[in-house]
Amino acid sequence: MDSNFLYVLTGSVLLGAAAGAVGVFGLLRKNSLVGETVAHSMLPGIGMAFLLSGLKNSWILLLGSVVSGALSLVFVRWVRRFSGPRPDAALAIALSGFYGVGIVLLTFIQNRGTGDFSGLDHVLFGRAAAMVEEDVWVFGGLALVVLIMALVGHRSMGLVAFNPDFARSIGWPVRLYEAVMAALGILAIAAGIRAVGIVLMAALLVIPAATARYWTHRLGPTLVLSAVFGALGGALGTALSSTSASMPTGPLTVLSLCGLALLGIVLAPQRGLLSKMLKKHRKRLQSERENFIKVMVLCLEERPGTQTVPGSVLRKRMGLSAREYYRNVRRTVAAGWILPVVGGLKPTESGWTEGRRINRLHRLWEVYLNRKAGVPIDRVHESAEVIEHLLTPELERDILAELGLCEHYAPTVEIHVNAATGA
Amino acid sequence: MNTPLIEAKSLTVRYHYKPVLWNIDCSLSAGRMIGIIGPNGSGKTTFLKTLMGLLKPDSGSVRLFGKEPKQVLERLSYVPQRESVDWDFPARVQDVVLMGRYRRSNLLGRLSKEDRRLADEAMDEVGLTEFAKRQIGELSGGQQQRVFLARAIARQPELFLMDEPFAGVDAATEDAILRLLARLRDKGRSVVIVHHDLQTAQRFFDELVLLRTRLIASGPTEQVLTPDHLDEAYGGRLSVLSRMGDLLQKSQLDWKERGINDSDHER
Repeated sequence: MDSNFLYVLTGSVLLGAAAGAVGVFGLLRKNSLVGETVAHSMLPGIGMAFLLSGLKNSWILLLGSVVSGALSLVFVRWVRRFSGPRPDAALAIALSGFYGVGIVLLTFIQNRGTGDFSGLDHVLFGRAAAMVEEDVWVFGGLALVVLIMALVGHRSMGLVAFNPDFARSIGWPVRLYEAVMAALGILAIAAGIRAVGIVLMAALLVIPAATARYWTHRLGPTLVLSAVFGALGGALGTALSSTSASMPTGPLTVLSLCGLALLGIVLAPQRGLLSKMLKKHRKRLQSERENFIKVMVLCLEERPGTQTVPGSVLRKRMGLSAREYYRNVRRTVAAGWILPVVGGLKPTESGWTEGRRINRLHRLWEVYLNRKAGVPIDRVHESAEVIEHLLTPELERDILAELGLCEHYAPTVEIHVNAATGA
Repeated sequence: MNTPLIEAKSLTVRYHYKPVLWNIDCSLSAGRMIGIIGPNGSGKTTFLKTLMGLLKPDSGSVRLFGKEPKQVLERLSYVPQRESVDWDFPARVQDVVLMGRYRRSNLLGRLSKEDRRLADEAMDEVGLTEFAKRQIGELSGGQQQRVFLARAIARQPELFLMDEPFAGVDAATEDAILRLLARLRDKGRSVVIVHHDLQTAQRFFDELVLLRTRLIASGPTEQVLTPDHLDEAYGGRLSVLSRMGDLLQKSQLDWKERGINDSDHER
């Protein structure tokens, strides 16, 4: 591996990490679009810097992009004072206006045909491999500073992002922190466009942050993870683009980031698709078990004195196929709720408790619907079939309280049965 | 005798050139539960925000504990409207409560053992201890409201300023909040609450400030809640004042004229 590649890789990792960390604040403050605007607005600055100096020096181009990025934010503020409650309009004007000027400048430079123009064209889609050692020191160093500041100040800036009014009420310098966040954003973008280019810079700000939110619900870890994802995206994009001379880094970085995001969307605990499906599946199994034991206890309550229910009775009552029936038996036995005995099935102690509990919740919900929501008696049964598996003890308590019933109230019969029999 | 808790003198606040509060004069004393009531858009929240200096008066002035609001921020706690923040924010209950311990003298938000203890106490006081490590987005509306309350308590202030703490909470939370507030008041703390429900206002508050852009009445609850006052506040007719407000908004004229200033307080 040649040493230049290592430089470039280090640079991309740092740029990605800084953008990832800073992007979290943008996402939390719901102004990710501002990052997009700032990135596009850097184009005229880069063009001007090159035109005025005639040099492709990293410092000069950086200065140009930072100045025009900052100017775009000033412009946005200024437009917002007149356009009133339409913040996105101001952003759109700034983005397209600055970008337009930038393209004009770039075309002008190109047509002039003088000076060493190569490299400026990479500004749009990024070409990490075009970074030379000096670039890596300048942009990588800058990115490192931004990353450290974001990590050190994350609590304070988090407060401002979460609840600015409260922050002001405790005398917190909200303006100062807003300025710091804007400055960090501008610097991270100015550095990041070296790797991914202006057009796709927003992805480097938004995707890592959004992905990190899948894996954690704390601010500190969100920041760290987002930086890690940004770094990974940068590294992958650079490595992939180095395989071919004409591959731009930006799109490949963005594709890598999308891959990481997809992993999060599918695999993340709690919020991920897989975990959600698993949860749903477990809930379904639980409902099935609860239904089985519920019907069993019902059968037994209807014939006082009996201790076992013949399988055929259960199957017929629940309308189960033989396969479904044996699956239910297996799972309910595994839960420790029933015992297979001679002549059928017999609930265990915990089985009795569980079955009675479900029946009680079923009936309670029916009573509640009928008395409090005015649902006719013959319509209450169906929703109770679902609700019985969901009612939490707190809700049960509230329902009892609202019905003015004591805690041990247990309706003994489903009320739609009452209505049907006229009891 | 002692300085009033809150004193407003010919206070006018405008938003986008339109007066939201118009010439408010009132004086409220400490150790009470004070409700700010009035119809929608009557300037209740604006009044609260102006009290703690979040909004600047266009003319007139506010004094808290006899001082400029900015000078006494350490002595008050603000409980914003629950809907004013995004509850999907990556934070746990204890993280938000600990925000109440942030100080201007500590801009990176580092926290001491004492800070953590006070936050734990505050969570205990509102019954959130078992939720300390939960993500705030998983909580019910009432629990979220109690998170804000705990954050305010953790600051250990003399004055609580709350914006609609009873909006959208269940009866249990409402009772919990009320009991807690009464306890705070018994300890000599003062509570100012923006409230929209007239039915409960009578029950909750010792004193009321009834607003409809201008001050309709302020004082002991039973003296404020008279049919005349309520008719004035909630009556449907568009008052000259609000029509004038619309005119001002259209004209975009600045409020402060030469020769008019708020020298009232420089006694």
